[in-house]
Amino acid sequence: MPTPADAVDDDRDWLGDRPRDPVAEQLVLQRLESKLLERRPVAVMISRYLLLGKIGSGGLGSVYEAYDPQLDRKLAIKVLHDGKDADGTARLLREGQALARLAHPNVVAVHDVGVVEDGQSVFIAMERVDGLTLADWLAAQPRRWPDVRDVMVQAGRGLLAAHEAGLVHRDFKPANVLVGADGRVRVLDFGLARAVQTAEIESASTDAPPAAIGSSITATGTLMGTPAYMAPEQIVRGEVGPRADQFGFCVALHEALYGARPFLGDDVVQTLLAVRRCEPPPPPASSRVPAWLHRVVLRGLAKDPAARFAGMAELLDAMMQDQRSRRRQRLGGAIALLATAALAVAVTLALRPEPTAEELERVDRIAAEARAAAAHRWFVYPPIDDPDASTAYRKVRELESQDGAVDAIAEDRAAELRDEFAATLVRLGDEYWAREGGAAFASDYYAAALVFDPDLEHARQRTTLSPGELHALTDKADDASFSPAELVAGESLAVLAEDDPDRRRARTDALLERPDGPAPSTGARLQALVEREPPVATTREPPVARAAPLEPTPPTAIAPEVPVARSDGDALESPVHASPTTARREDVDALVAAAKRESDAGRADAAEALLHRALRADRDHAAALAALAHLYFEAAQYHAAIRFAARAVAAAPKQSSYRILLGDAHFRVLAYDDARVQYERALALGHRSAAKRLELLDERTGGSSAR
Amino acid sequence: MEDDLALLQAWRRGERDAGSRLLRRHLGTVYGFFANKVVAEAAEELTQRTFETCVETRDQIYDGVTVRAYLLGIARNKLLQHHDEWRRRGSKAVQAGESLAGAMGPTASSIVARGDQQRLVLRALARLPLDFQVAVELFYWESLSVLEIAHVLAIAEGTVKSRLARARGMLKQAVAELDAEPALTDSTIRDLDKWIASMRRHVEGDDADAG
Repeated sequence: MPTPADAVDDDRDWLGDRPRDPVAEQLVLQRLESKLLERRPVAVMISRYLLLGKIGSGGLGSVYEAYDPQLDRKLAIKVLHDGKDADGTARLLREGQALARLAHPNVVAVHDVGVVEDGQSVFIAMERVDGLTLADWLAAQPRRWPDVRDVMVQAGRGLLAAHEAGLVHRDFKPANVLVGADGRVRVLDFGLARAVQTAEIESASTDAPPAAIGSSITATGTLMGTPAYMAPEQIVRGEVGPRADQFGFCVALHEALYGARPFLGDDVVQTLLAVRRCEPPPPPASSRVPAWLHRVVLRGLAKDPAARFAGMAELLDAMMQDQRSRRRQRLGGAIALLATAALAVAVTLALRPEPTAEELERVDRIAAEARAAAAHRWFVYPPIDDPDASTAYRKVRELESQDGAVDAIAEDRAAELRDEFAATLVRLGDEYWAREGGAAFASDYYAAALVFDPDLEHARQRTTLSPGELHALTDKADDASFSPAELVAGESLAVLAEDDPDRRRARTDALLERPDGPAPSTGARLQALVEREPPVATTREPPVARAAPLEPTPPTAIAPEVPVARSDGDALESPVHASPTTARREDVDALVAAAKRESDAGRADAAEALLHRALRADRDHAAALAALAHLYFEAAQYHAAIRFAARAVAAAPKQSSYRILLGDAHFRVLAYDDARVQYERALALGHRSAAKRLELLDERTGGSSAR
Repeated sequence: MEDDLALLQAWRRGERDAGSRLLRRHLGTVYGFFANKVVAEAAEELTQRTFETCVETRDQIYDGVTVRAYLLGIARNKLLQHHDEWRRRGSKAVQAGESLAGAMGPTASSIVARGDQQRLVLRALARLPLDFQVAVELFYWESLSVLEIAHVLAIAEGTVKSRLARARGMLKQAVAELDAEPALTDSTIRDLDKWIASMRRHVEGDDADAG
């Protein structure tokens, strides 16, 4: 049988032609024309994208920076070469499509996949991320281990998402992790990710040696990966799977936490040998990384894949274990001291520097907002039409992210709220679990409860969501990245949690009337459940999830007909959380008036609470909406101000003062075009300040209002 | 051929149109020459330097030598200078933190092979000492005459012929080695030590044989 060596005798045929890269040549030509000849460059295009320059080249192809004129945004385009023929091209296209299906905040987004004109190369158009690679981020300044951990957890979530979609990264390393300027971490260069198909071998070529066909775990193709991050089984047997990714992830984690990789060598050869030996060194003595985290890293670096974590979900759980035990610790301490909020504050104050009054007010305010959202039943899911609105969960997270002297107090408050909301949701779950047609909703309530408190065994047992799905739900709850369908599902939960029968029916009708509403079967079940008695789901008592029952209950119901809040900070939490009583229409006006008085007296939080109550009774009460918008505006919360002012405008389109308010809020967040629209309408409606506002706008934007 | 010469002369006189046409005709050749020997950024930069030199000097081009060969001669010089700079900086051939797929130090290729055959060709070529590799490329890929190759490599015509013959033998051997060596394919790595040993040879041999 002729060997390849024989082929050299047929010189010319064997050598073929010089390999060319037409796209790269085009770009180089463009640049040289401009440098050497001072010519304006001619655009190099791929599909509808304009190429701007080569960012880099890797094993499978080159990456270019590009511009999409249709959507007016920059992106990155990776051009993959591997098609010797149509099969190869088709395979690459499938890979690209698999990537495009992965939509996760921690995975670089794929916008488009296609074939370049020459028919041989596949291109993948991805988001262009403004940020640093992990390596650069680590080098930029010394990082505390919790921050490193948080960044790596985000990257880990991206990997988890890929694994759950059946993809394996195969080349995870710090160069493939981007820490965006927006704080979001994204994993990229899944260019090596191949769908791990255990049963079939992809396009088994007749050239492949017999040994290749026998190995069912590997996909055909070249072994690539970076020596320092490759798993031992990947080097020795070419086995690649999610556990190999886990290994690479932990190598990167080790490097990020300790400043050095665990397996070192002077060159490729030495490095590979070190990985194969798999003996990680002890951490540097000066390191402040806690032992439990070090153990997590070590486990992920186990030589035997079976000894590592079962999957990325378990690994991430383990990386976050201090968060949960910290909450438990604090709550435990609070119980022992007859936890009332005040007493817990007193104790922690004794041990820490003094937080300022402003900081304490902020904590109260955020807690009140959490309760306000909970009152609307927006625990985890925001309203469909306002997905950026606060949910109880996001407010709890806001509390937990308070820094400085007040962080302990804020955390305590957050812990209380978590338990409270979790208990409410569990109670709702229990309620519907028993009802006919309610099991699916119950499962969702339990899932929502687990978002607040992942340790609830009872809820864990009864929910149908996997740990991976719960992770995903928690992520989405964190950054409000729910799909429209999820929001609709969330509204069903909110509806079923409504305690006032009239409001429940109204919300149900509204939901079912939506063109994008739930499926008929779900809707029917919903309706059936709604017809019956409301659940006894109001939280009047404190949570009982922990060992001993808590003693004094936090300050609760004030008789709702008295629309005046006490003047100290504590009471804020109560009115909105009072027993279920509907304020009738006349009362709504009274509430608004009372709110005005509170606000004039400088008690903005009390005013806010009252206005939220008013809106519970009447969502479209223009005056209440506008008053709230004013409050938020004053508190420099411009986005909230925009939301409520917009609703006020929608409720009362002819009220020019609302338009001025909305325009001002837009102005503050530099949305000049939107501001202009509102000011012009106000002008048309005859508001006397409108003209001056438009002048100011013109000054700012250099435009002209005279059209 | 005259056409090219006329264009070059016109460009040297400052006529940009001529420069543009010349650039378009020969960019592929010059860039391609660098692309399978150095990383992308270097390939572009060396290409630029090549064209800059060709328009700035007032060299005569010998009879029987095309502008294309002339350009490749300049290109080869630039490549040698580039390698010298690298050697002076004393960089290791491979950095463990970089991907295997593509980075082998200063000789890293920015060309991505299509398919196994082409990959094999490129790798075999890369194992030859530089001037042998260039000789083969110029003869087979660029179809330069022996006279032109002699000019580019600054050797006698007779030496070109013998070099080509020797190069063929070397290629055969390189291919045989590559074939025997457990290649960089995940499906065929069974014996890591043997592979590592051959990698080591390749890595060290690169520095020893060049030039």
